Amino acid sequence: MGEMILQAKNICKSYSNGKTQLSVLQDFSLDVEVGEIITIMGQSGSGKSTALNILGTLDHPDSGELILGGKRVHTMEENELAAIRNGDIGFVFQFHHLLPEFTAIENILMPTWINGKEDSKNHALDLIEKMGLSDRKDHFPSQLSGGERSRVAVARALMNQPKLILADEPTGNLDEKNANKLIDLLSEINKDFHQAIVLTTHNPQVARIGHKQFNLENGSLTEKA
Amino acid sequence: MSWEKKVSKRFSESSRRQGWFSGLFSMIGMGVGCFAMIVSLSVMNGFETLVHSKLKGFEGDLRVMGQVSENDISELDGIETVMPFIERRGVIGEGNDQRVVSLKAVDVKKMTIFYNLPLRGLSPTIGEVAVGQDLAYRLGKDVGDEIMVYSPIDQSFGFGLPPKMRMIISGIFSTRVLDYDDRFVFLSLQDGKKLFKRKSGLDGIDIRVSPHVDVSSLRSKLVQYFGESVTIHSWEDLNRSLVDAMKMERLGTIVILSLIFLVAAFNLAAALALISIQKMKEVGILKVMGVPTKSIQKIMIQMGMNRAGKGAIYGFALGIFLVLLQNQFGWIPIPSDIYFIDALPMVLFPKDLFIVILISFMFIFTASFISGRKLAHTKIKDGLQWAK
Repeated sequence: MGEMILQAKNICKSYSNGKTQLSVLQDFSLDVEVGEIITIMGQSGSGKSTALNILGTLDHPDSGELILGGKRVHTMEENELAAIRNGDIGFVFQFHHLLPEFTAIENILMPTWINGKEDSKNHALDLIEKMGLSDRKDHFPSQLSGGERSRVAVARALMNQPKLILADEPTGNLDEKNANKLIDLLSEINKDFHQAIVLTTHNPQVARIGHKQFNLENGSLTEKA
Repeated sequence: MSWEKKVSKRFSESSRRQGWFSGLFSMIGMGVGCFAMIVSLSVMNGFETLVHSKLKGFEGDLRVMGQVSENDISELDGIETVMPFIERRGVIGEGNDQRVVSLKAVDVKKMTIFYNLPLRGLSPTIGEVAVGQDLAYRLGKDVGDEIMVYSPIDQSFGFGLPPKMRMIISGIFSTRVLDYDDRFVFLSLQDGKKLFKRKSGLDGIDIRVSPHVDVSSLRSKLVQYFGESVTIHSWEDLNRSLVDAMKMERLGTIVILSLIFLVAAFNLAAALALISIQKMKEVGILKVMGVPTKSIQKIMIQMGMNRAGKGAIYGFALGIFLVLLQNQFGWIPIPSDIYFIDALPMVLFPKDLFIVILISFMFIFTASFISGRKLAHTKIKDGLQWAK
């Protein structure tokens, strides 16, 4: 068994809608080792995004424990969580979530600006070259295609060399060609940088890249044989 | 440039199209506020400085009351000149047309050196008086006319009539300060001693302090030197109600003109609230990348400063420019027969500039802080869902 990077233990999360209580996650548990790719499949509304939000400290669980790199993050204050999100976790979203006011290279550099590393431009240029976007570095997100935006988002997620990358349906908004390109890229990153990746999708083909593949049903995970 | 500044600059640029109208108004509001406050304070300062110099020109910087000789004081460092005086309520006039005045007996040889009195005619010598313009007008007298002067409470031997002196008006002064031109009559110390039978010596000595000498430190030195045998008043103590009224007027002006800032601050808060809604998604993205709440707050404050701060600086610069122009060229005239100067006086003190900057930026900061607070505490999930 390798070094554990993320442990989610018996996470429960529900949302109330007036009088009704909707339970989204029930005893959700997941262990992620360094360098491992985990894919979570599930239908729309099954709670994939909620699970990833909790794993990424973007949302709080109602109960359960979350341990990231040995730190019990579910008890931490918002500012401590912000530091963890900046240094230890990289996020890739379905809708890219790039800042429209900044160019591709500036978007990639943003996580290093936030943690005060002002001299990371060469690293950002290496990453953008790896993504095959060197000639698009000074373009704004509105001037990039969907596939290019996804790759910029991946480069941004890698910028601070986090231990864990959380990708929430990264191919959900892409055509097949661009989706395959992005999945190849994520596999390559996993091999090159040895970062753990947790990826949600409803596409079985995408799910196949996972060293471990899970299904999310009725709020809890079941591992595919 | 810090990354927060970069973000606030880009956010400001991108939201310029949507919120430019309200942004422009908050900028203009702050500019007008700064301009109005600088001009108003400088005009008030101008008139205050003028009144102060008139008061000091009439009374000197300090007044020592008590048993003290002229020589004791004039030998001290930091003193330019001194004026011994005896002051008494008295009557001046002719026949039935008589007025109660303050008779001020002084060393007439030093009058032109000590007092800064616009005088028509000459300083009085023995047997002569200098009267104020208003008093001369009421009595129907002019330079060279004779007039009767006496002090009713100074009867010889406690009964009988007080000594009266027929004196010549040698000069008529015009200070235009308070009621001085109607109240004061100057005469020589020798004549004063003859008229004020019940006075044994001097009432006190007025002091004019050398330029560049601090009046309050000299006052403390005099207190130490003479001890409790004398009382020392500054010209401000002697005109306390006037000085306090001017201070109150200044405070009132600052408070009322701050209302312009208040309106501009409301406008700024509304503009920033609009931007907050537009930037919910971006704030969510920034928080995903690990931006702490205080940095979002900082970005919003910098956006407020970018917008309204610019207006404040323009208004500030324009106000100073107008004051400099007025002092250089005197383009704004005022009637000299009323104000005894031709152009509107404008004086700016560093502390006033500091007050204007402080008030304007305090309003900008508060408006930006309040409108940025909600955005800074936006939940990440809400911000990201806003994008969807």
